[in-house]
Amino acid sequence: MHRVRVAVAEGVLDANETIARANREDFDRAGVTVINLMSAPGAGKTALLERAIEAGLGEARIGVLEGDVQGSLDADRIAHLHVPVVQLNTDPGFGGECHLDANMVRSAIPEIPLDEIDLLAIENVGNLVCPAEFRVGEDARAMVCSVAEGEDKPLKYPLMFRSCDLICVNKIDLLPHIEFDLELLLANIETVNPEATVLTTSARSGEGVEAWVQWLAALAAA
Amino acid sequence: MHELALSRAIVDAALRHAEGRPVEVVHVKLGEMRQAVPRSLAFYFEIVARGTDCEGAELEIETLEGDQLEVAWIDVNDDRRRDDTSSPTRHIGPSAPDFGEAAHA
Repeated sequence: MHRVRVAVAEGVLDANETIARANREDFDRAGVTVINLMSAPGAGKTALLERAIEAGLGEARIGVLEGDVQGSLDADRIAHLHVPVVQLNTDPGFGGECHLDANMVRSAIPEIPLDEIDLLAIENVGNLVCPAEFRVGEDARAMVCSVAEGEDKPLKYPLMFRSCDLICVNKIDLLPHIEFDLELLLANIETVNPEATVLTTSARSGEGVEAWVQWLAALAAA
Repeated sequence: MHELALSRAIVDAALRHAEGRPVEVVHVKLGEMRQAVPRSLAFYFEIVARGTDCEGAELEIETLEGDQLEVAWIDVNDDRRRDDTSSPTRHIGPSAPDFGEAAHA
């Protein structure tokens, strides 16, 4: 056997990055700003999107790409608010992946009415690990971290927290009812990502939602 | 699941550079900040490689500080080339999309 060494020196995720850039080009051509919204399951991504859609983003028109392993429960919720929404399931077709990657999003682009929206919110699959690895062509990244998850999550999942421009600490209406040190969580976020904008929100009570909406509106207008 | 997704990307990269030749070794540089467990990565790599030119290849993982995640090099069996039909290459994962003009920018 004649063994030959082949230099590769290729980032494992370079192929994904190439497709992500192609997605970004398509979004830019359409004049659509894209946010990749991530969190652990159940942190409140969909609820915060609902509140933003209900409040309105000024002149900006929003559309949503819902990523889930299966089903269309979240997309159905968004559809009730009469904005364009496309469901992207990772099972079947993409092996039931626990995240969206650039190729999956690319497959959904023809279904998204880009000429009817100014801001596309891509709600990723609930997961604090894999979605952080795969860019999908977004302009900005945001994550939701609920107080029910504990104060230590920024230290246990630093890649996710470090990769986001905005971090919404959600479900603060629960604070009187649980053992949770908000200051400790904020300090942990500061440790791993001092550059991030941090908001405290409750999609249920509405507290802090205005700042979330303003952040989205500013992103869309940028 | 994290390691599964990364393993797919590693195998894809190795297959592209192997150009149809059987892969013997894949050497990966893995930064600690990537939160990937080497043993788990090797487990999934073995599964994902099945039926491809990476089947049976050894995955060498060089752990480093930082967030590097790179296929550094591969060793291939150069006795069999791409036109050797006894070594079919099976593409894994979703089919390659049409990048459009942006891919050539």
